[in-house]
Amino acid sequence: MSVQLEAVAFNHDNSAATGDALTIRRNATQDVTVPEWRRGLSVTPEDSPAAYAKAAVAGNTLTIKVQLSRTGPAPSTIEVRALDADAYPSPGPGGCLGFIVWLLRLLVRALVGNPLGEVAARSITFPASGTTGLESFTLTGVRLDSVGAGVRTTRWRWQYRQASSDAWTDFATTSHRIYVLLDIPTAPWVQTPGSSQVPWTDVLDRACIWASLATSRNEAAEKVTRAVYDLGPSVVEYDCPGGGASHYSLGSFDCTAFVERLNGGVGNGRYVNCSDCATIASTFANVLGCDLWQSRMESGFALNELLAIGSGTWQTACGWGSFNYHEVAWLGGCTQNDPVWDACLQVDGDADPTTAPHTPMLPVNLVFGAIGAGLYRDRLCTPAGRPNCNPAPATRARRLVV
Amino acid sequence: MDDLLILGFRFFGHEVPGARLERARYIDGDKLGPVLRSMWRRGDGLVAIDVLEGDSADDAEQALQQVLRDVQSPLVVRTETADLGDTAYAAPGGGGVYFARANLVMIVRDAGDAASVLDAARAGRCHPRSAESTCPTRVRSTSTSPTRSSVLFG
Repeated sequence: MSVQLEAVAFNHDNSAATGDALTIRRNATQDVTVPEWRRGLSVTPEDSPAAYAKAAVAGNTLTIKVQLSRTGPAPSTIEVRALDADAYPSPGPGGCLGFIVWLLRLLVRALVGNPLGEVAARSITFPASGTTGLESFTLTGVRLDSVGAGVRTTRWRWQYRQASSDAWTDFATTSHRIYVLLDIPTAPWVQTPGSSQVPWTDVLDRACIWASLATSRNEAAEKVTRAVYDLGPSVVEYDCPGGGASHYSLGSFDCTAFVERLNGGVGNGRYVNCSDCATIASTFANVLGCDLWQSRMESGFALNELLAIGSGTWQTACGWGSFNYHEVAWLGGCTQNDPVWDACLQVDGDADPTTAPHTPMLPVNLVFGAIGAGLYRDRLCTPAGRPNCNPAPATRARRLVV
Repeated sequence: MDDLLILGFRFFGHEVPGARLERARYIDGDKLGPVLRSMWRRGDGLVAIDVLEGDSADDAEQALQQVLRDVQSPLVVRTETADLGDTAYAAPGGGGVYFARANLVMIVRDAGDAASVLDAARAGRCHPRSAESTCPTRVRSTSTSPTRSSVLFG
């Protein structure tokens, strides 16, 4: 008898993500088709992507659905399971070098290895056609609760046997790219099948690396914000020539162009402003389960010297002296009592932000603050500018990704 | 102000002297409506030209003000350069030009090492009565023809 693995579905229940994978797509124009793994079509892990929200699946049993076929005469019922193909249970022989290799493998496994465990054995009865429907399998040894955010690879060794006394026979090996998110993505991301606002793997590929190993929303937001700021000056820099205009966030978030830029393409060019940075940071953080807004402070306020994204010079934003407005990633009601994450600029973090010398500080999880509180507002604005720099929560938004 | 309504604006690739059209596509600008976004390569520099199409000149003027709300510098101010459009704003040094012409809003920006984009902005405006103009697919005079279906130039 010959058994074949036909398909593996991770996101088999569109109505929830508590026992299976999230609904995702590749980008604005390309879907991820379910079953995610198909025989003959899925070769690399990237061909078979799935994303899980840690908080949503915590404590629940995870299931996948599997389609099998058989050829030749055989009993119509077999037992099927899948083992972790990358499991290394012991150092094995090889002396000191072998032990080091084993340790390195353990390290790699801890950082990027299989978080989904194994596929528990169950019996499958083939119909007369020889091909099953999508049969539910339970995952065992799932490690999602013990790993941080990230992108990982699961490789499974599929086996079957006809009787419980038989030895297991390998019949397929599959590999899958698994995105581990902290929680279900928040707006602009949705879980509505067919929507272009379903989380994009193009975004997850970056966000999961930027926030790698983060275990809390604040930590993930901080890591994403730092990663966005660190894109300067090689990928982006503040738009001094154009007067600080939005290049990626005019109306909606031109995420397609931004991803193109990240991948070495032209995108919408090298310049960004605060709205772009706020939109990028919040959108990439929210796909991991953070809950940030893009919101403004207004209007017309004098600035302390700062380090704009991509710049190595402390100055008052291109030497302008003031901002018409400024926009950041902001939590909650986007009021002066709520924290901000600013991927666009570093402020002076020392006791006196109004004068040199300056101590660079990227504002992450820093409360906007009242005048004189020594928080974000005081670090961004001069004493004279602070009364004009006020949260404008009516402007809070989450731009659509296009 | 021009008595013009320009419908179906698009680029053919030769509007900006000395520049090659890298890409032009429509994106959903949410409340701004569809935005025609184009990238032009000029030498080592990049110029970005975005075009918003309003229903009227007043509509374009409002959209222009909305666009300018996303500009952080207080030094982007109204310019009296009459050859750009009905209302024009420019960044010091010419790295960004924002103007409305008839029912169109044009946003012309340095997207990387392009230096001044003023010449690109001038090239991007529409000359419906010029034999060299190719940008609008339909243009009509709003003062003489009240219907949107009128086509004077195409």
